Amino acid sequence: MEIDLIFKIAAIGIIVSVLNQVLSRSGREEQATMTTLAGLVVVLMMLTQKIAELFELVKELFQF
Amino acid sequence: MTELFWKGAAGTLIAAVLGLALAKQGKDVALLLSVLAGCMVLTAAMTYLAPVMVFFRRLQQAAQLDEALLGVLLKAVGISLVAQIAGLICGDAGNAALGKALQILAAAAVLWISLPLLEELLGLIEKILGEV
Repeated sequence: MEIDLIFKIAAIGIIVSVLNQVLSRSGREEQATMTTLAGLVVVLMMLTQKIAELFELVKELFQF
Repeated sequence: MTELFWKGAAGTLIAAVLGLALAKQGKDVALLLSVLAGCMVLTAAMTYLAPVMVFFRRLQQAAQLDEALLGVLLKAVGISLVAQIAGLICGDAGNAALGKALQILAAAAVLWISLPLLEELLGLIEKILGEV
């Protein structure tokens, strides 16, 4: 079980929220939105792999 | 082997606390964090369930049950498990309607999987009624 992945995603979330705040306060709303979206895509890419692994495991275990 | 359980419990608690901290800024990453923790805990649960499935297989062979019978049951359990967790996550994301739709999909899939069994049962009933 990779608990470090939870910390990785939490760290990405914190970094994205800090960047979002900084960019929003300096009047760069578009860049702030793009940064948030980029962070979301990065986390989603990490997550998709894990979801696929889980589904494969369930398929194998329950004989699909 | 039990250390997997302790790791899972600790990971879930940490994810819940970190999710609370992240939810103040943006709920999207917090939701993804909870999805990841759920995935990891379910993967750990599957590791525990693997020997149980081997035991079920032995029971089935000892009782000389039809292989399709156990297969339908196991598939139904797998579908229900995944649909339940995914539906709850949809509910947490504030989209309870999607969660309900997923549960309906799961119920339909389970019905479709058990269709051969139901047809067999119908054939048996017809046979019994024909003999009477």
